[in-house]
Amino acid sequence: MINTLLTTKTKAIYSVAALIIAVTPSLPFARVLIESSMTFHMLFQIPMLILAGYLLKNNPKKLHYTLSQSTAQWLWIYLSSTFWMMPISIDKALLYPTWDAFKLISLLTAGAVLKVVFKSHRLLALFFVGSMAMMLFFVGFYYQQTDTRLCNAYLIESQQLTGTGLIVIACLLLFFLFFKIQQGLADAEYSRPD
Amino acid sequence: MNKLKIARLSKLSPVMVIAFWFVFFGLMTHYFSNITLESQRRDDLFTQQPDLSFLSTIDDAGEFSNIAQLAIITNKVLITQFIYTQCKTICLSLGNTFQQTQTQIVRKNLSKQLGLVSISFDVSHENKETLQAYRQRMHADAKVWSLVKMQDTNVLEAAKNKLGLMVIEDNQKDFVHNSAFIVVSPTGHVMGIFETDEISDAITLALKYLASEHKEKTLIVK
Repeated sequence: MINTLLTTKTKAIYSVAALIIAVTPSLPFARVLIESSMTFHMLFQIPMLILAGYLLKNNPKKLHYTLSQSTAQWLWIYLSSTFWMMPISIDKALLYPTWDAFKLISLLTAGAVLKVVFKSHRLLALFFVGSMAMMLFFVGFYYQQTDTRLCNAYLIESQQLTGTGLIVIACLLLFFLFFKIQQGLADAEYSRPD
Repeated sequence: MNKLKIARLSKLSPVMVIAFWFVFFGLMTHYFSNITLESQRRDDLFTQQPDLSFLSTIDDAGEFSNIAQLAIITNKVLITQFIYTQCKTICLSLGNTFQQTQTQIVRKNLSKQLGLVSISFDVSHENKETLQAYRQRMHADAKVWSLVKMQDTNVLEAAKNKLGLMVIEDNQKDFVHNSAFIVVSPTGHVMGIFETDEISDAITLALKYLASEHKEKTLIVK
């Protein structure tokens, strides 16, 4: 994964940079970024928080104590990302700083857990990644197609663009899934005794 | 922590994660009843029934008042909507709905009990002249349909906080806003809030209120 390709120093720089980029739009002086565009909020800040959490230096053993089973870890990632796909969550994150702080913490945790969870059972990983892709696809499709403005804080054009972006992410996840399945089948073929 | 304790914790953790998110999903969606802020706003207004005396207005004749006072003085049930007169989208359809409702009110001779109010939130551009032009354009009968604008930005902010009104200025210097019909009692309190295609429900609520009030009066006279 990304971690193995980078040196410790570069990793630290990247993780701090990612954290700053992800958290800054929630700070008062930069809130206009998430307030003015749903696309920026959902397609940039939320994935960036997960990535920043992923890049954070953490101790996988400690995470194992708190979220010790891979099912729990996957559930955290799945439920936290589903939670922040709801229109009411996005609106409340803009209106109430406490909900925005909860967004930062829960998504950074999801990113941190993501690092550990890829070492879990492959079938479990495929199941959750597949479920996530379906969830993103349906949410994206709904955001894109509905004539109702679901988020009070954003324009309908921003909502439709976000919907399209979510569908693209869902498709990328599906490609990743098929790639992993293919890779798994190839490995199984290679390791099969003659 | 010994290994046994850790093993027990690890068995609990998926359940704990589900329980944690169950609580937060519940808190966020107001106990699983709303997935959008707009639907929560409607639920809140139905239950809280706030007093609208904070909604200070100026009408197209330049008279200062507030929505609660307007309801009390006229002793009418009011159906209100938030608009801005230069709007080329949703407000036009809201205006058409009010035109048809005005015709119904006049035809059923309800103009003494039921009134319509269009409230403009465009505090910086709206004035007497623009409201009067809107009145002419919409053929609004002053006995049935009042046209007012919010007095200042403080009133607009109060409407945003207390009524969940959302107004966003878009790139073309127009506004994007949430739209609904708010039914106000003759005491100046919110009785209900309805979607733009639910004007008949708003009228039904108003008529029910008037019918119950009439019954009460008849009982007192008897």
